[in-house]
Amino acid sequence: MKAAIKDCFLNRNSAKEIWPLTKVLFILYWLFKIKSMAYHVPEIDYPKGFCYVFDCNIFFSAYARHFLFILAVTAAILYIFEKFMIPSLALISLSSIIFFSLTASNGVNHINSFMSGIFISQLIAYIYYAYHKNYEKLEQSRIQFSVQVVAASYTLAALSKLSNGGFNWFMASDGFALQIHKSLLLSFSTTGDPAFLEKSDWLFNFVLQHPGITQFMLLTALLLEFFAFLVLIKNELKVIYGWVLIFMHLGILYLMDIHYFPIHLYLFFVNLPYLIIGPFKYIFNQSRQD
Amino acid sequence: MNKVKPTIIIIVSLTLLFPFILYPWLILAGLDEFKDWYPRFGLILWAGKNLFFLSLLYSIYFFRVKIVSLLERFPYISIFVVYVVLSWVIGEHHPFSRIPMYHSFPNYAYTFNILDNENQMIPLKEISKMGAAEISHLYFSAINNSDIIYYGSGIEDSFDMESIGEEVFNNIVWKENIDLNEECFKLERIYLSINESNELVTKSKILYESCY
Repeated sequence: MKAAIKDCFLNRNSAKEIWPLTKVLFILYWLFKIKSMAYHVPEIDYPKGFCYVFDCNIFFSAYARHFLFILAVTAAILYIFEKFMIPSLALISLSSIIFFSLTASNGVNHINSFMSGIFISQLIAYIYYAYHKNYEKLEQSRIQFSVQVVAASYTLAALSKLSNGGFNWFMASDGFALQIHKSLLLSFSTTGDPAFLEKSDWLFNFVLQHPGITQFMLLTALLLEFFAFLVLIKNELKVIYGWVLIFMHLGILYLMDIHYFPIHLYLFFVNLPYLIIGPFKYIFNQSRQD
Repeated sequence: MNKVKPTIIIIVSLTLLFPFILYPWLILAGLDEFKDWYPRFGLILWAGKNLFFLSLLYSIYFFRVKIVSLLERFPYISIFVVYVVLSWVIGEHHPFSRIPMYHSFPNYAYTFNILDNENQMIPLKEISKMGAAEISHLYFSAINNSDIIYYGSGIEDSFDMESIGEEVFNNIVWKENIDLNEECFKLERIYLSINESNELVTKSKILYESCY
């Protein structure tokens, strides 16, 4: 029993077991995200990504966006049932790139933009290992390659901070206080809830009065992001690292009211669905043995 | 040449690339810029930079098979390395990004409000499908794509700010029941900063009015 719980919490399950639930939840979340983009008329004022290379004016037509969304849904269904994985992943990746590029070209950068990268990495896994007919490796790599993209995003975030803010990025507690204040005022402008005004004043003064705590917090976040590649070395570390990063996002939610659901961590790092289903599966298997 | 290990070539190249990773504008800088920055050695440094990139491209071509085999040998990290390098070089073009969120903390920030005719704030969720954070994105996209000299000082030229305000206002996605021909809105920008006595300084500016 103890060993089973440990296996479950430290993500020692086989990649084959984890894959079905992970991919279903991830693709559903992706469909939910791109749905709002598909039914919004784009303005291509600041061409980015796909729209930087190709003319995106075709997507002014609602028919073109609906057609692409229907294609994406069809590819997602094939993906869920593990059919024609290479063409369906190629179609999912392409439609993801187009929809996220449309939003970015409209002037709004999407926080979940690495989702396309995850699908591309899975496509690479399928192409590479299907070519070599190594299906055992494919089972591991389609998840591990996704983890690499997520880890790369965190390391990139840290490199960006070091490149723009320098090695003393974490020392700028005054600037951070201002960003917290701004973030909560933006939430007030959106909702009209005066509680955000009280909270922003309180947090602004707290951060200014306790620079040491703030700097320690910022340094921890920077180091966590920078060393995200460590999860690629040891699979079990991925779970612990995943939980720590989730708590970092929860901290950001509390401080800055940035609503961001880190689905990539829940699915590819801590493997939350299996954590919930795992004990039931264990009880079921035990009762069958008895 | 074939006896040189590709691992060593990659490590040496990445080390030499590091200044260009930290200061990517060096890659595109021309001879005139180099002469401006380094009046005495501009030509030599510019030629050296170009020679380095040409030899790097040639090395990649020369060792292409070995680079691919190296990536094959370390599949558990190769996607990570390729994605980091490509994202850094390409920048903010989906699916690549340097994830620049809060990469620096300048001593200024902006928030945005929508006001009615009586200058009362209207919560955005009542009139728009966008939040104030998205309007902030629109503002910075408009600024970055304009020729406006931008200091974040809160004292930018009023004429420039009007054109930016109009661009931002026109890109806001309104709710279906909002008719801009009938209702008047103002786009307000609030400039925030901290002065030397650690006090918050705020300045309000109307960037755009839908009816004058």
